Amino acid sequence: MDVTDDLIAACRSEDREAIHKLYKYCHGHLIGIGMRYLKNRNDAVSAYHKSFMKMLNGLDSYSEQQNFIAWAKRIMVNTCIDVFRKDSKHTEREYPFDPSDYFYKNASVDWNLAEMNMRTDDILEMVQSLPEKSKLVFNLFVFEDLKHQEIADLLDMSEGTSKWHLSKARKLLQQKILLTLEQENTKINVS
Amino acid sequence: MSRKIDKFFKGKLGKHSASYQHKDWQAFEAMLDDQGGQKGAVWGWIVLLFIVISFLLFVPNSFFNPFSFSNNQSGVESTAVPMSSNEEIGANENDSYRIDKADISAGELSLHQSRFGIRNNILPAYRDDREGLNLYGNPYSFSASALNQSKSATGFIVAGKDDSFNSRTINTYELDYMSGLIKQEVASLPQYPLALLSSMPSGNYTTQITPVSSPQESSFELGIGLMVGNATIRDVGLLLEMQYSFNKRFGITFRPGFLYSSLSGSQMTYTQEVFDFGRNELQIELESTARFELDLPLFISMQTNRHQFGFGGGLTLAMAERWKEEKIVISDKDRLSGSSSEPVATSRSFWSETDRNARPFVEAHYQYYIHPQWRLGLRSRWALVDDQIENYSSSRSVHYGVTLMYSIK
Repeated sequence: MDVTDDLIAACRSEDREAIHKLYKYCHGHLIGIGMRYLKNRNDAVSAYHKSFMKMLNGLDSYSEQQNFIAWAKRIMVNTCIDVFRKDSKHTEREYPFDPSDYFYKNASVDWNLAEMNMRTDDILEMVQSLPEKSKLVFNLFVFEDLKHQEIADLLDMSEGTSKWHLSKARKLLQQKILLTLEQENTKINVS
Repeated sequence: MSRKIDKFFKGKLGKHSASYQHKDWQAFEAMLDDQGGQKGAVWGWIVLLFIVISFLLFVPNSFFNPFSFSNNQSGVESTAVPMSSNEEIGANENDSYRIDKADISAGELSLHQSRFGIRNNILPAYRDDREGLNLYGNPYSFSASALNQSKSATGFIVAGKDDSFNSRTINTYELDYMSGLIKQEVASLPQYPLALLSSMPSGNYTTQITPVSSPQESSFELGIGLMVGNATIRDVGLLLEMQYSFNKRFGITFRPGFLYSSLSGSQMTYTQEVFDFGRNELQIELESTARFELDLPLFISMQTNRHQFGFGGGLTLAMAERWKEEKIVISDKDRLSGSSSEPVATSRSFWSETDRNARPFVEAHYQYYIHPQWRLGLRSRWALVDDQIENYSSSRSVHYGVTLMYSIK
């Protein structure tokens, strides 16, 4: 389904059926984004609802020349950042690593093996379990293609801090991948 | 490596989408219905606000008596005050030997002792009541008086949890200060200890009207304010106020404030246990932020007798910011001699690195005149854009504050 001008016009006039169509259209894309930024599906759905409400209220400012899904995606990302800001003062996260993490410090990942063996849900869970700020920076850098300066402006932090968070996120993700691959390998050997 | 890991995650999660569930839509539909109801509620509040403002603007000043602004006399006038006889003083434990006139501003400073429920003033007490019913209380005593022009009736009820109450003796120490906005006239005979009164000749005493300027004129005022922030941030500030009154009710106020905002505590951001050849290390990173800000608000203020309401907006300028990060390492590496905990400062940024910016806000305040020159107020400030301090977000935050202003006439 495409987002047509007629559909937008019907949503502007608060036609419930049209709103439902648009809701369904954006649902998969935007909740997928939310799940990367937030902790779980429930938080992502909640953020999507806030975003969709903003979209409906802001449809008058939407111009038909714009790519609708890109416009919606931007609203969703901003909502996720708002959620992070509201929650960040209570954030206190712990990352219980297996002590054997130490031995993976200098190991490198076989990306082909990772590509073949790792499930999307596991990878998503790895991103979700990152420290909040590092997760946000990682998402903005990798998926939204923002530069460090842009991220720093957006999150009101220094460029150096943004780089530091990205580096931390990459290290943690790499450790998790190594650990997962190691466990998979052990399973195969045992069986 | 970095590019590979980025590419790997982008490839796996870039197109990731969630499956549609109808219950999500049902939840959203409920939100849509609620929003319709909220719009009605907003209009309800607007109408209510309009009614309240209209009421405050158009009710006569006398509605708020006895703190009326309307009489603003000045000059000196002699008033004959009949002196109570010593016998009368001895017969009445209460304040019957005090002459009060209506609408008088005054204060009371007294030390009382009560025995068997009878109150004795053992230091000079000076108190004036206003026309109508006056109630005063403190943790140990309660007093009520009714005043009608020059006639007054005052009674005391003594109560308290003081241990000495069991022996039916209470020492009550009061330091009360009460005042009206305009000291229209003072026609009060101070209470004196019996010994002093007995040495005073009987007859009439003369008191005089004390002129006091009206606070309705334009004025320049200087004040100090203590700001209390939200759960994460606390503010302390110094306020300077310039107020110009157009008339008795409306004025315009410029009140710049220099604020110091700081975090109430540090935050654990990341914890990791590292296994290092039999040693365990727990690393905790702590961050704290402090900031100097300049608030530049402009208000429209409205005054009704002792009450002043203000609403306006302005800009907050971030003048300087300090961010500090510390790493605390708790290690059992010295297990034989007990665990050790050693804070290590890993990085620090200084005032000079502040990203100076200006953020708009709207603000509302309420102030109450506790004295013609002193006002106690509540202030609430809503940021219109994010005022995130480094890693501690207080996005669109509301800051509450208590202010104490002193007017320089």
